[in-house]
Amino acid sequence: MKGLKEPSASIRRHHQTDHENPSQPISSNNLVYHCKPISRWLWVTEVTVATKIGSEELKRIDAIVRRRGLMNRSDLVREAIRLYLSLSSLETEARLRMLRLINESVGASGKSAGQLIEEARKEEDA
Amino acid sequence: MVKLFKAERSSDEIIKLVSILDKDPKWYATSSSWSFLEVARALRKDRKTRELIELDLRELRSHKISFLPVTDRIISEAESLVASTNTYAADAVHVSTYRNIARRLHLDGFLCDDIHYERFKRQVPVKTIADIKV
Repeated sequence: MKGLKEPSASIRRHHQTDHENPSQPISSNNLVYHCKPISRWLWVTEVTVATKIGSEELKRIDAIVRRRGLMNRSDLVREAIRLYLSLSSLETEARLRMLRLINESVGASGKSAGQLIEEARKEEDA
Repeated sequence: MVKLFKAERSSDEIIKLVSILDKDPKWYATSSSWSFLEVARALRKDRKTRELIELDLRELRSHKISFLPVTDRIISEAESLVASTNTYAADAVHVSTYRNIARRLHLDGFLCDDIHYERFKRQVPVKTIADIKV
């Protein structure tokens, strides 16, 4: 999920249920949900996410959009969200294996876990 | 715990163990919250990006592993251990954490890798992943 930050502005869940008051924002941590009715019978139709992205991250996003032949930045963000949701929805074992694969493809010192921990402890001692 | 994110010997077994912890209520694991810093530092030394380290730590927090705070009592016992033996500060925190809770939580052993086995075996009932049938 490189380049993506926690949404700092707002998420709008455009949906209407019989149980919710559309005018009442529901706050959860730093996210704010605003419910706006689209259809009485639709539960969730659209999510709008606003987030702050640094200029360096924006450059990386644009480079990936060009390289992967995506339509625009939104397309990339949509793909990133789908990928993250897919990863998060996996069962523990499958998710950990996927995460290990991602870890193996992003940098590697060639050292084992034990060696890395040992080095970190020696560092503290020094 | 760093083994969870490295494709190496015993990594598969550690993944299976965490998976069992999540599924089977008979299994229970605990560690010191100091582990988050150690894992973060190890991953940083392994040249992982900030985003990936944050993702890995979030994953660690999502399992049925209790991360206990480093209390004054644990620090005090760790100090004695460091003063009386040739133990690293981080090792002393882990050993003190285990000693503080082992009886109360009915813990069966102190899980660590082969590299650290020799260092801990006189202080706590050390187990390696090979000792655990998963």
